[in-house]
Amino acid sequence: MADDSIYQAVRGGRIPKGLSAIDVHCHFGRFSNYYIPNNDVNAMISAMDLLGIRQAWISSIVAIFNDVRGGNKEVAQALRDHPDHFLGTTVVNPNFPEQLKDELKRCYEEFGFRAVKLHCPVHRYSVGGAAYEAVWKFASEKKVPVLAHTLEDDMSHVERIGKEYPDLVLIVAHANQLQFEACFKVVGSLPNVYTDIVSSGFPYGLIERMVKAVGSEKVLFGTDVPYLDPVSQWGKLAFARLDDGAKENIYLRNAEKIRSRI
Amino acid sequence: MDRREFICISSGGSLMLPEMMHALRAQATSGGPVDCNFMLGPSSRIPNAYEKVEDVIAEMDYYGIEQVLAYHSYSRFIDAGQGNELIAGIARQSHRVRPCWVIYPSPAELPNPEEFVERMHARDIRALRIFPGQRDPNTFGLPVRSWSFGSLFSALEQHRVPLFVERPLLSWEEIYDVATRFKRLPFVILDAHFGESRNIYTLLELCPNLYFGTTYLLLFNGLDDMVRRFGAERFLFDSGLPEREPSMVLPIIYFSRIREQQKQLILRGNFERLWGSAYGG
Repeated sequence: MADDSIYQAVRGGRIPKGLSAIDVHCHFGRFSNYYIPNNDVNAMISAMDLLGIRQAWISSIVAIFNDVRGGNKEVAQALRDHPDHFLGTTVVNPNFPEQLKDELKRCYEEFGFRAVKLHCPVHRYSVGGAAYEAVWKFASEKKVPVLAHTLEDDMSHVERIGKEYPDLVLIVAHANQLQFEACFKVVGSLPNVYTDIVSSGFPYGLIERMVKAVGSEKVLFGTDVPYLDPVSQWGKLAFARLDDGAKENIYLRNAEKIRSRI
Repeated sequence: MDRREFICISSGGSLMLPEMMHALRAQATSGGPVDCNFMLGPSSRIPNAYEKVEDVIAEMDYYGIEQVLAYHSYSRFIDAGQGNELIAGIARQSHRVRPCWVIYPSPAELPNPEEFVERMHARDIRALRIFPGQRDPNTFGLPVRSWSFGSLFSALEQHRVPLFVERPLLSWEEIYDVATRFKRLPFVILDAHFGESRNIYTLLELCPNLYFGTTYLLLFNGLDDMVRRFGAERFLFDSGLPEREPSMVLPIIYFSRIREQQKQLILRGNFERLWGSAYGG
Protein backbone atom coordinates (compact mmCIF):
# COMPACT_ATOMS: atom_id res chain seq x y z
CA MET A 1 0.00 0.00 0.00
CA ALA A 2 1.47 3.37 -0.95
CA ASP A 3 1.71 6.00 1.75
CA ASP A 4 -1.25 7.94 0.41
CA SER A 5 -3.34 5.16 -1.11
CA ILE A 6 -6.33 6.02 1.11
CA TYR A 7 -6.31 9.60 -0.14
CA GLN A 8 -5.84 8.48 -3.74
CA ALA A 9 -8.80 6.14 -3.45
CA VAL A 10 -11.22 8.66 -1.95
CA ARG A 11 -10.14 11.35 -4.40
CA GLY A 12 -11.00 8.93 -7.17
CA GLY A 13 -14.39 8.18 -5.63
CA ARG A 14 -13.42 4.76 -4.34
CA ILE A 15 -13.29 3.09 -0.94
CA PRO A 16 -9.89 1.45 -0.48
CA LYS A 17 -10.01 -2.33 -0.45
CA GLY A 18 -8.99 -3.90 2.83
CA LEU A 19 -9.33 -0.75 4.92
CA SER A 20 -11.18 -1.47 8.17
CA ALA A 21 -12.42 0.71 10.98
CA ILE A 22 -13.92 0.63 14.44
CA ASP A 23 -16.47 3.31 15.19
CA VAL A 24 -16.07 4.24 18.88
CA HIS A 25 -18.71 6.99 18.82
CA CYS A 26 -22.00 5.78 17.46
CA HIS A 27 -25.56 6.02 18.70
CA PHE A 28 -28.71 4.04 18.23
CA GLY A 29 -32.42 4.82 18.13
CA ARG A 30 -34.90 7.55 17.37
CA PHE A 31 -34.39 11.29 17.69
CA SER A 32 -37.05 13.98 17.55
CA ASN A 33 -35.09 17.20 16.95
CA TYR A 34 -34.82 16.71 13.21
CA TYR A 35 -35.97 14.26 10.57
CA ILE A 36 -33.57 11.38 9.91
CA PRO A 37 -34.62 9.11 7.01
CA ASN A 38 -34.33 5.31 7.23
CA ASN A 39 -32.86 5.43 10.70
CA ASP A 40 -32.92 1.77 11.60
CA VAL A 41 -30.48 -0.97 12.43
CA ASN A 42 -30.40 -2.35 8.89
CA ALA A 43 -29.41 1.05 7.49
CA MET A 44 -26.67 1.29 10.12
CA ILE A 45 -25.26 -2.09 9.21
CA SER A 46 -25.47 -1.33 5.52
CA ALA A 47 -23.44 1.87 6.06
CA MET A 48 -20.92 -0.01 8.20
CA ASP A 49 -20.46 -2.63 5.49
CA LEU A 50 -19.99 0.05 2.84
CA LEU A 51 -17.18 1.71 4.79
CA GLY A 52 -15.52 -1.38 6.21
CA ILE A 53 -16.54 -0.57 9.78
CA ARG A 54 -16.09 -3.85 11.64
CA GLN A 55 -17.71 -2.78 14.85
CA ALA A 56 -19.65 0.22 16.15
CA TRP A 57 -19.75 1.10 19.83
CA ILE A 58 -23.37 2.13 20.20
CA SER A 59 -25.13 4.12 22.91
CA SER A 60 -28.84 4.70 23.08
CA ILE A 61 -30.31 8.10 22.16
CA VAL A 62 -33.42 7.21 24.13
CA ALA A 63 -31.22 6.59 27.18
CA ILE A 64 -29.35 9.85 26.77
CA PHE A 65 -32.43 12.03 26.38
CA ASN A 66 -35.26 10.37 28.16
CA ASP A 67 -35.24 6.85 29.54
CA VAL A 68 -31.94 5.36 30.71
CA ARG A 69 -33.16 1.87 31.45
CA GLY A 70 -35.47 1.58 28.44
CA GLY A 71 -32.83 2.95 26.06
CA ASN A 72 -30.05 0.70 27.30
CA LYS A 73 -32.41 -2.24 26.93
CA GLU A 74 -32.97 -1.34 23.25
CA VAL A 75 -29.22 -1.45 22.70
CA ALA A 76 -29.11 -4.84 24.45
CA GLN A 77 -31.62 -6.14 21.89
CA ALA A 78 -29.56 -4.78 18.98
CA LEU A 79 -26.49 -6.42 20.49
CA ARG A 80 -28.30 -9.75 20.75
CA ASP A 81 -29.45 -9.45 17.13
CA HIS A 82 -26.10 -8.30 15.73
CA PRO A 83 -23.33 -9.37 18.09
CA ASP A 84 -20.68 -9.18 15.38
CA HIS A 85 -21.43 -5.58 14.48
CA PHE A 86 -21.96 -3.81 17.79
CA LEU A 87 -20.37 -3.25 21.15
CA GLY A 88 -22.87 -2.06 23.74
CA THR A 89 -22.21 1.19 25.56
CA THR A 90 -23.96 1.93 28.84
CA VAL A 91 -25.56 5.35 29.19
CA VAL A 92 -25.86 6.67 32.75
CA ASN A 93 -27.55 9.80 34.04
CA PRO A 94 -25.68 11.54 36.89
CA ASN A 95 -28.83 13.36 37.94
CA PHE A 96 -30.09 10.04 39.33
CA PRO A 97 -26.97 8.89 41.20
CA GLU A 98 -28.84 6.23 43.18
CA GLN A 99 -29.64 4.39 39.88
CA LEU A 100 -26.27 4.91 38.28
CA LYS A 101 -24.31 2.08 39.91
CA ASP A 102 -27.11 -0.41 39.35
CA GLU A 103 -27.33 0.51 35.68
CA LEU A 104 -23.58 0.12 35.18
CA LYS A 105 -23.76 -3.33 36.80
CA ARG A 106 -26.91 -4.40 34.96
CA CYS A 107 -25.58 -3.41 31.53
CA TYR A 108 -22.18 -5.00 32.16
CA GLU A 109 -23.39 -8.27 33.67
CA GLU A 110 -26.81 -8.81 32.12
CA PHE A 111 -26.35 -7.25 28.68
CA GLY A 112 -22.60 -7.60 28.16
CA PHE A 113 -21.96 -3.90 27.46
CA ARG A 114 -18.27 -3.06 27.44
CA ALA A 115 -18.12 0.75 27.32
CA VAL A 116 -19.77 3.72 29.04
CA LYS A 117 -21.14 6.91 27.54
CA LEU A 118 -21.52 10.22 29.39
CA HIS A 119 -23.37 13.16 27.87
CA CYS A 120 -22.60 16.20 30.02
CA PRO A 121 -24.42 18.87 27.92
CA VAL A 122 -27.69 16.93 27.77
CA HIS A 123 -27.53 16.04 31.46
CA ARG A 124 -26.25 19.51 32.36
CA TYR A 125 -23.65 17.97 34.58
CA SER A 126 -19.89 18.53 34.55
CA VAL A 127 -17.62 15.56 33.98
CA GLY A 128 -15.96 16.61 37.25
CA GLY A 129 -19.19 16.08 39.24
CA ALA A 130 -19.28 13.73 42.23
CA ALA A 131 -21.84 11.34 40.75
CA TYR A 132 -19.37 10.29 38.09
CA GLU A 133 -16.84 8.99 40.64
CA ALA A 134 -18.70 5.66 40.56
CA VAL A 135 -18.19 5.55 36.79
CA TRP A 136 -14.44 6.13 37.00
CA LYS A 137 -14.08 3.40 39.65
CA PHE A 138 -16.24 0.93 37.75
CA ALA A 139 -14.58 1.58 34.40
CA SER A 140 -11.08 1.35 35.90
CA GLU A 141 -11.85 -1.93 37.55
CA LYS A 142 -13.55 -3.50 34.53
CA LYS A 143 -11.15 -1.88 32.05
CA VAL A 144 -14.02 -0.56 29.93
CA PRO A 145 -13.51 2.72 28.03
CA VAL A 146 -15.61 5.79 28.83
CA LEU A 147 -16.67 8.12 26.02
CA ALA A 148 -17.46 11.52 27.50
CA HIS A 149 -19.16 14.35 25.66
CA THR A 150 -17.77 17.04 27.94
CA LEU A 151 -18.72 20.63 28.68
CA GLU A 152 -16.48 23.23 27.11
CA ASP A 153 -14.67 24.08 30.38
CA ASP A 154 -14.33 20.48 31.54
CA MET A 155 -10.78 19.78 30.44
CA SER A 156 -9.20 20.54 33.83
CA HIS A 157 -11.53 17.90 35.30
CA VAL A 158 -10.52 15.46 32.58
CA GLU A 159 -6.89 16.07 33.48
CA ARG A 160 -7.56 15.34 37.16
CA ILE A 161 -9.59 12.21 36.40
CA GLY A 162 -6.99 10.90 33.94
CA LYS A 163 -4.28 11.27 36.57
CA GLU A 164 -6.31 9.88 39.48
CA TYR A 165 -7.46 6.82 37.53
CA PRO A 166 -4.49 5.60 35.48
CA ASP A 167 -6.28 2.36 34.57
CA LEU A 168 -9.18 4.27 33.08
CA VAL A 169 -9.43 4.88 29.33
CA LEU A 170 -11.25 8.16 28.83
CA ILE A 171 -12.21 9.37 25.35
CA VAL A 172 -13.03 13.06 25.01
CA ALA A 173 -15.77 13.15 22.37
CA HIS A 174 -15.72 15.73 19.57
CA ALA A 175 -12.28 16.98 20.68
CA ASN A 176 -14.24 18.93 23.28
CA GLN A 177 -15.84 21.00 20.46
CA LEU A 178 -15.19 24.52 21.57
CA GLN A 179 -11.95 24.10 23.48
CA PHE A 180 -9.74 22.29 20.99
CA GLU A 181 -6.42 23.54 22.31
CA ALA A 182 -7.23 22.72 25.93
CA CYS A 183 -8.33 19.27 24.79
CA PHE A 184 -5.16 18.64 22.81
CA LYS A 185 -3.03 19.68 25.79
CA VAL A 186 -4.64 17.12 28.11
CA VAL A 187 -4.91 14.32 25.51
CA GLY A 188 -1.31 14.88 24.52
CA SER A 189 0.00 14.74 28.05
CA LEU A 190 -1.92 11.77 29.53
CA PRO A 191 -1.47 8.26 28.08
CA ASN A 192 -4.96 7.12 29.06
CA VAL A 193 -6.92 10.05 27.59
CA TYR A 194 -7.95 10.01 23.92
CA THR A 195 -10.11 12.07 21.63
CA ASP A 196 -12.17 11.39 18.50
CA ILE A 197 -12.64 13.09 15.13
CA VAL A 198 -16.43 13.36 15.25
CA SER A 199 -18.04 16.69 14.39
CA SER A 200 -20.49 18.23 11.96
CA GLY A 201 -18.75 21.53 11.43
CA PHE A 202 -15.12 21.17 10.56
CA PRO A 203 -12.63 23.97 10.21
CA TYR A 204 -10.02 23.52 7.54
CA GLY A 205 -7.12 21.27 8.58
CA LEU A 206 -8.35 20.30 12.03
CA ILE A 207 -7.48 16.60 11.83
CA GLU A 208 -3.94 17.48 10.79
CA ARG A 209 -3.68 19.92 13.72
CA MET A 210 -5.08 17.29 16.05
CA VAL A 211 -2.56 14.65 14.98
CA LYS A 212 0.29 17.13 15.14
CA ALA A 213 -0.69 18.08 18.68
CA VAL A 214 -1.39 14.67 20.22
CA GLY A 215 -0.09 12.04 17.76
CA SER A 216 -2.11 9.66 15.61
CA GLU A 217 -2.03 7.07 18.44
CA LYS A 218 -4.35 9.22 20.57
CA VAL A 219 -7.09 9.93 18.04
CA LEU A 220 -10.06 7.64 17.41
CA PHE A 221 -12.53 7.25 14.58
CA GLY A 222 -16.24 7.76 15.20
CA THR A 223 -19.31 8.64 13.16
CA ASP A 224 -22.07 9.92 15.46
CA VAL A 225 -24.61 7.84 13.51
CA PRO A 226 -27.54 8.48 13.21
CA TYR A 227 -27.03 12.18 13.85
CA LEU A 228 -24.58 12.31 10.95
CA ASP A 229 -23.94 10.41 7.76
CA PRO A 230 -20.97 8.18 8.63
CA VAL A 231 -19.45 8.78 5.21
CA SER A 232 -18.81 12.39 6.26
CA GLN A 233 -16.55 11.35 9.14
CA TRP A 234 -14.92 8.55 7.20
CA GLY A 235 -14.28 10.93 4.30
CA LYS A 236 -12.67 13.74 6.23
CA LEU A 237 -10.07 11.34 7.61
CA ALA A 238 -9.53 9.75 4.20
CA PHE A 239 -8.90 13.19 2.66
CA ALA A 240 -6.65 14.43 5.51
CA ARG A 241 -3.06 15.27 4.68
CA LEU A 242 -1.68 12.37 6.72
CA ASP A 243 0.08 9.20 5.65
CA ASP A 244 -1.80 5.91 5.54
CA GLY A 245 -0.15 4.68 8.72
CA ALA A 246 -1.53 7.56 10.75
CA LYS A 247 -4.97 7.09 9.20
CA GLU A 248 -4.96 3.36 9.93
CA ASN A 249 -4.11 4.13 13.57
CA ILE A 250 -7.16 6.35 13.77
CA TYR A 251 -9.55 4.19 11.78
CA LEU A 252 -8.70 0.95 13.53
CA ARG A 253 -5.53 0.24 15.50
CA ASN A 254 -6.04 2.58 18.45
CA ALA A 255 -9.54 1.25 19.09
CA GLU A 256 -8.29 -2.32 18.74
CA LYS A 257 -5.72 -1.64 21.46
CA ILE A 258 -8.35 -0.19 23.76
CA ARG A 259 -10.67 -3.10 23.08
CA SER A 260 -7.96 -5.63 23.81
CA ARG A 261 -7.69 -4.29 27.38
CA ILE A 262 -11.34 -4.97 28.16
CA MET B 1 3.44 44.68 -4.57
CA ASP B 2 -0.17 44.99 -3.53
CA ARG B 3 -1.58 41.61 -2.53
CA ARG B 4 -4.62 42.11 -4.75
CA GLU B 5 -2.45 42.87 -7.76
CA PHE B 6 -0.47 39.72 -7.00
CA ILE B 7 -3.53 37.58 -7.39
CA CYS B 8 -4.18 38.93 -10.87
CA ILE B 9 -0.61 38.97 -12.11
CA SER B 10 0.56 35.69 -10.67
CA SER B 11 -2.10 33.70 -12.45
CA GLY B 12 -0.19 34.31 -15.70
CA GLY B 13 -1.39 33.90 -19.27
CA SER B 14 -2.86 36.44 -21.61
CA LEU B 15 -6.31 37.95 -21.25
CA MET B 16 -9.07 36.23 -23.18
CA LEU B 17 -12.28 37.43 -24.71
CA PRO B 18 -15.43 36.30 -22.87
CA GLU B 19 -16.45 34.09 -25.82
CA MET B 20 -13.10 32.31 -25.81
CA MET B 21 -13.31 31.73 -22.08
CA HIS B 22 -16.89 30.50 -22.44
CA ALA B 23 -15.74 27.98 -25.07
CA LEU B 24 -12.88 26.78 -22.86
CA ARG B 25 -15.23 26.24 -19.93
CA ALA B 26 -17.72 24.44 -22.15
CA GLN B 27 -14.98 22.07 -23.35
CA ALA B 28 -14.47 20.99 -19.78
CA THR B 29 -18.08 19.96 -19.19
CA SER B 30 -17.27 16.27 -19.17
CA GLY B 31 -14.85 16.81 -16.33
CA GLY B 32 -14.87 16.88 -12.57
CA PRO B 33 -16.90 18.69 -9.95
CA VAL B 34 -17.73 22.38 -9.99
CA ASP B 35 -17.70 23.91 -6.53
CA CYS B 36 -20.23 26.74 -6.29
CA ASN B 37 -19.08 28.13 -2.93
CA PHE B 38 -15.52 29.34 -3.01
CA MET B 39 -13.84 32.52 -1.81
CA LEU B 40 -10.69 33.96 -3.31
CA GLY B 41 -8.54 36.69 -1.86
CA PRO B 42 -7.06 37.61 1.50
CA SER B 43 -8.98 37.34 4.73
CA SER B 44 -8.00 38.29 8.26
CA ARG B 45 -10.37 35.63 9.60
CA ILE B 46 -9.20 32.66 7.57
CA PRO B 47 -5.55 31.67 7.97
CA ASN B 48 -5.33 29.68 4.76
CA ALA B 49 -7.20 32.13 2.51
CA TYR B 50 -5.88 31.91 -1.03
CA GLU B 51 -3.80 34.83 -2.15
CA LYS B 52 -2.24 33.27 -5.23
CA VAL B 53 -4.11 31.62 -8.08
CA GLU B 54 -1.61 28.76 -8.13
CA ASP B 55 -2.56 28.02 -4.51
CA VAL B 56 -6.21 27.93 -5.50
CA ILE B 57 -5.51 25.57 -8.36
CA ALA B 58 -3.38 23.34 -6.11
CA GLU B 59 -6.19 23.13 -3.58
CA MET B 60 -8.75 22.35 -6.27
CA ASP B 61 -6.47 19.64 -7.62
CA TYR B 62 -6.03 18.11 -4.16
CA TYR B 63 -9.77 17.54 -3.91
CA GLY B 64 -10.28 16.78 -7.59
CA ILE B 65 -12.37 19.89 -8.13
CA GLU B 66 -12.25 21.03 -11.71
CA GLN B 67 -13.82 24.47 -11.51
CA VAL B 68 -15.05 26.87 -8.87
CA LEU B 69 -17.67 29.58 -8.77
CA ALA B 70 -15.78 32.13 -6.72
CA TYR B 71 -16.36 35.55 -5.25
CA HIS B 72 -13.55 37.77 -4.07
CA SER B 73 -13.04 38.47 -0.37
CA TYR B 74 -12.88 42.19 -1.18
CA SER B 75 -16.44 42.01 -2.50
CA ARG B 76 -17.70 40.76 0.80
CA PHE B 77 -15.51 42.52 3.32
CA ILE B 78 -14.22 45.72 1.69
CA ASP B 79 -15.82 46.97 -1.49
CA ALA B 80 -18.11 45.13 -3.88
CA GLY B 81 -17.03 47.04 -6.99
CA GLN B 82 -13.35 46.47 -6.35
CA GLY B 83 -13.79 42.79 -5.44
CA ASN B 84 -15.99 42.19 -8.47
CA GLU B 85 -13.34 43.61 -10.79
CA LEU B 86 -10.68 41.48 -9.11
CA ILE B 87 -12.61 38.24 -9.50
CA ALA B 88 -13.53 39.10 -13.10
CA GLY B 89 -9.83 39.66 -13.79
CA ILE B 90 -8.84 36.32 -12.27
CA ALA B 91 -11.57 34.49 -14.19
CA ARG B 92 -10.36 36.03 -17.46
CA GLN B 93 -7.01 34.37 -16.86
CA SER B 94 -8.08 30.95 -15.65
CA HIS B 95 -10.89 28.91 -17.13
CA ARG B 96 -11.08 27.01 -13.82
CA VAL B 97 -12.48 30.04 -12.01
CA ARG B 98 -15.99 31.26 -12.77
CA PRO B 99 -16.71 34.71 -11.41
CA CYS B 100 -19.49 35.46 -8.98
CA TRP B 101 -20.31 39.08 -8.24
CA VAL B 102 -21.56 40.58 -5.01
CA ILE B 103 -23.68 43.70 -4.55
CA TYR B 104 -24.96 45.83 -1.66
CA PRO B 105 -28.49 46.94 -2.55
CA SER B 106 -29.05 50.46 -1.31
CA PRO B 107 -30.13 53.38 -3.54
CA ALA B 108 -26.76 55.09 -3.10
CA GLU B 109 -24.79 52.00 -4.10
CA LEU B 110 -27.19 50.37 -6.51
CA PRO B 111 -29.37 53.10 -8.03
CA ASN B 112 -30.55 50.90 -10.91
CA PRO B 113 -30.59 47.12 -10.38
CA GLU B 114 -31.69 46.46 -13.96
CA GLU B 115 -28.67 48.37 -15.26
CA PHE B 116 -26.42 46.46 -12.88
CA VAL B 117 -27.67 43.13 -14.17
CA GLU B 118 -27.16 44.34 -17.74
CA ARG B 119 -23.60 45.17 -16.76
CA MET B 120 -23.16 41.68 -15.35
CA HIS B 121 -24.47 40.29 -18.64
CA ALA B 122 -22.04 42.34 -20.67
CA ARG B 123 -19.17 40.93 -18.59
CA ASP B 124 -20.58 37.37 -18.76
CA ILE B 125 -21.10 37.25 -14.97
CA ARG B 126 -23.81 34.63 -14.50
CA ALA B 127 -24.21 34.40 -10.74
CA LEU B 128 -24.72 36.82 -7.86
CA ARG B 129 -24.11 36.41 -4.18
CA ILE B 130 -25.42 38.51 -1.29
CA PHE B 131 -24.57 38.56 2.40
CA PRO B 132 -27.68 39.94 4.08
CA GLY B 133 -28.23 40.19 7.81
CA GLN B 134 -28.04 42.69 10.57
CA ARG B 135 -26.24 41.10 13.49
CA ASP B 136 -23.06 39.68 11.97
CA PRO B 137 -20.53 42.45 11.26
CA ASN B 138 -19.50 40.57 8.11
CA THR B 139 -22.89 41.12 6.50
CA PHE B 140 -24.45 44.08 4.73
CA GLY B 141 -26.62 45.29 7.60
CA LEU B 142 -29.80 44.72 5.61
CA PRO B 143 -32.61 42.23 6.15
CA VAL B 144 -34.11 40.43 3.15
CA ARG B 145 -37.33 42.38 2.55
CA SER B 146 -39.10 43.61 -0.54
CA TRP B 147 -38.10 47.20 0.30
CA SER B 148 -34.41 46.28 0.54
CA PHE B 149 -33.77 43.59 -2.05
CA GLY B 150 -37.00 43.50 -4.05
CA SER B 151 -35.95 45.46 -7.14
CA LEU B 152 -32.65 43.57 -7.35
CA PHE B 153 -34.38 40.19 -7.10
CA SER B 154 -36.86 41.27 -9.72
CA ALA B 155 -34.05 42.14 -12.16
CA LEU B 156 -32.27 38.85 -11.44
CA GLU B 157 -35.50 36.95 -11.91
CA GLN B 158 -36.16 38.58 -15.25
CA HIS B 159 -32.76 37.42 -16.53
CA ARG B 160 -32.75 34.07 -14.66
CA VAL B 161 -29.50 34.93 -12.93
CA PRO B 162 -28.98 32.52 -10.02
CA LEU B 163 -28.74 34.06 -6.58
CA PHE B 164 -26.54 32.43 -3.91
CA VAL B 165 -26.95 33.10 -0.21
CA GLU B 166 -25.95 31.36 3.00
CA ARG B 167 -28.81 30.04 5.10
CA PRO B 168 -27.50 31.44 8.45
CA LEU B 169 -27.76 34.94 6.98
CA LEU B 170 -31.51 34.84 6.49
CA SER B 171 -34.49 33.17 8.11
CA TRP B 172 -36.55 30.32 6.70
CA GLU B 173 -39.45 32.76 6.51
CA GLU B 174 -37.34 35.08 4.35
CA ILE B 175 -36.28 32.17 2.12
CA TYR B 176 -39.90 31.15 1.66
CA ASP B 177 -40.94 34.72 0.98
CA VAL B 178 -38.29 35.30 -1.70
CA ALA B 179 -38.80 31.91 -3.36
CA THR B 180 -42.56 32.35 -3.61
CA ARG B 181 -42.54 36.04 -4.52
CA PHE B 182 -39.88 35.58 -7.25
CA LYS B 183 -40.94 32.24 -8.61
CA ARG B 184 -38.62 32.24 -11.64
CA LEU B 185 -35.53 33.31 -9.70
CA PRO B 186 -33.06 30.40 -9.35
CA PHE B 187 -32.42 30.69 -5.62
CA VAL B 188 -29.53 28.66 -4.18
CA ILE B 189 -29.27 28.24 -0.41
CA LEU B 190 -25.79 27.41 0.87
CA ASP B 191 -24.85 26.11 4.33
CA ALA B 192 -28.31 24.79 5.17
CA HIS B 193 -27.67 22.54 8.15
CA PHE B 194 -28.88 18.95 8.29
CA GLY B 195 -30.27 19.69 11.76
CA GLU B 196 -32.87 21.82 9.98
CA SER B 197 -33.98 18.93 7.79
CA ARG B 198 -37.67 19.56 8.37
CA ASN B 199 -37.37 23.11 7.01
CA ILE B 200 -35.27 21.92 4.06
CA TYR B 201 -37.73 19.17 3.14
CA THR B 202 -40.73 21.45 3.48
CA LEU B 203 -39.33 24.24 1.33
CA LEU B 204 -38.05 21.81 -1.31
CA GLU B 205 -41.64 20.61 -1.52
CA LEU B 206 -43.16 24.08 -1.68
CA CYS B 207 -40.65 26.04 -3.81
CA PRO B 208 -39.54 24.52 -7.13
CA ASN B 209 -37.08 27.36 -7.79
CA LEU B 210 -35.16 26.60 -4.59
CA TYR B 211 -31.84 24.72 -4.67
CA PHE B 212 -29.54 23.64 -1.87
CA GLY B 213 -25.78 23.46 -1.60
CA THR B 214 -24.60 20.16 -0.19
CA THR B 215 -21.88 21.17 2.30
CA TYR B 216 -23.93 20.72 5.43
CA LEU B 217 -26.40 18.14 4.14
CA LEU B 218 -24.73 15.52 6.34
CA LEU B 219 -27.97 13.83 7.31
CA PHE B 220 -27.73 10.05 7.77
CA ASN B 221 -29.11 8.61 4.50
CA GLY B 222 -30.12 12.18 3.69
CA LEU B 223 -28.85 12.67 0.16
CA ASP B 224 -30.36 9.39 -1.06
CA ASP B 225 -33.68 10.26 0.50
CA MET B 226 -33.83 13.87 -0.69
CA VAL B 227 -32.86 12.92 -4.25
CA ARG B 228 -35.52 10.23 -4.26
CA ARG B 229 -38.18 12.66 -3.05
CA PHE B 230 -37.25 15.88 -4.82
CA GLY B 231 -34.90 14.91 -7.67
CA ALA B 232 -31.14 15.34 -8.03
CA GLU B 233 -31.76 18.58 -9.92
CA ARG B 234 -32.26 20.47 -6.65
CA PHE B 235 -28.76 20.06 -5.19
CA LEU B 236 -25.38 21.59 -6.02
CA PHE B 237 -21.97 20.56 -4.75
CA ASP B 238 -20.28 23.29 -2.73
CA SER B 239 -17.32 23.36 -0.37
CA GLY B 240 -17.03 26.59 1.63
CA LEU B 241 -13.30 26.62 0.90
CA PRO B 242 -11.04 28.02 2.24
CA GLU B 243 -12.84 28.17 5.59
CA ARG B 244 -14.01 24.56 5.48
CA GLU B 245 -13.09 21.43 3.59
CA PRO B 246 -15.10 19.48 1.02
CA SER B 247 -13.76 16.29 2.57
CA MET B 248 -17.05 15.38 4.24
CA VAL B 249 -19.47 16.13 1.44
CA LEU B 250 -17.59 14.87 -1.62
CA PRO B 251 -17.52 11.26 -0.32
CA ILE B 252 -21.21 11.52 0.58
CA ILE B 253 -21.97 12.28 -3.05
CA TYR B 254 -19.49 9.72 -4.40
CA PHE B 255 -20.73 6.86 -2.21
CA SER B 256 -24.44 7.60 -2.07
CA ARG B 257 -26.78 5.02 -3.55
CA ILE B 258 -28.20 7.35 -6.18
CA ARG B 259 -27.54 6.75 -9.86
CA GLU B 260 -24.26 7.89 -11.42
CA GLN B 261 -26.13 10.34 -13.63
CA GLN B 262 -27.71 11.90 -10.55
CA LYS B 263 -24.30 12.25 -8.91
CA GLN B 264 -23.01 14.04 -11.98
CA LEU B 265 -25.94 16.45 -11.83
CA ILE B 266 -25.09 17.34 -8.24
CA LEU B 267 -21.36 17.53 -8.82
CA ARG B 268 -21.61 19.61 -11.95
CA GLY B 269 -24.66 19.36 -14.17
CA ASN B 270 -27.05 21.43 -12.10
CA PHE B 271 -24.60 24.26 -11.80
CA GLU B 272 -23.96 24.16 -15.55
CA ARG B 273 -27.70 24.32 -16.17
CA LEU B 274 -28.21 27.36 -13.94
CA TRP B 275 -25.10 29.08 -15.27
CA GLY B 276 -26.09 28.36 -18.85
CA SER B 277 -29.70 29.48 -18.42
CA ALA B 278 -28.84 32.96 -17.21
CA TYR B 279 -29.81 35.68 -19.69
CA GLY B 280 -31.80 33.16 -21.71
CA GLY B 281 -28.80 30.88 -22.39
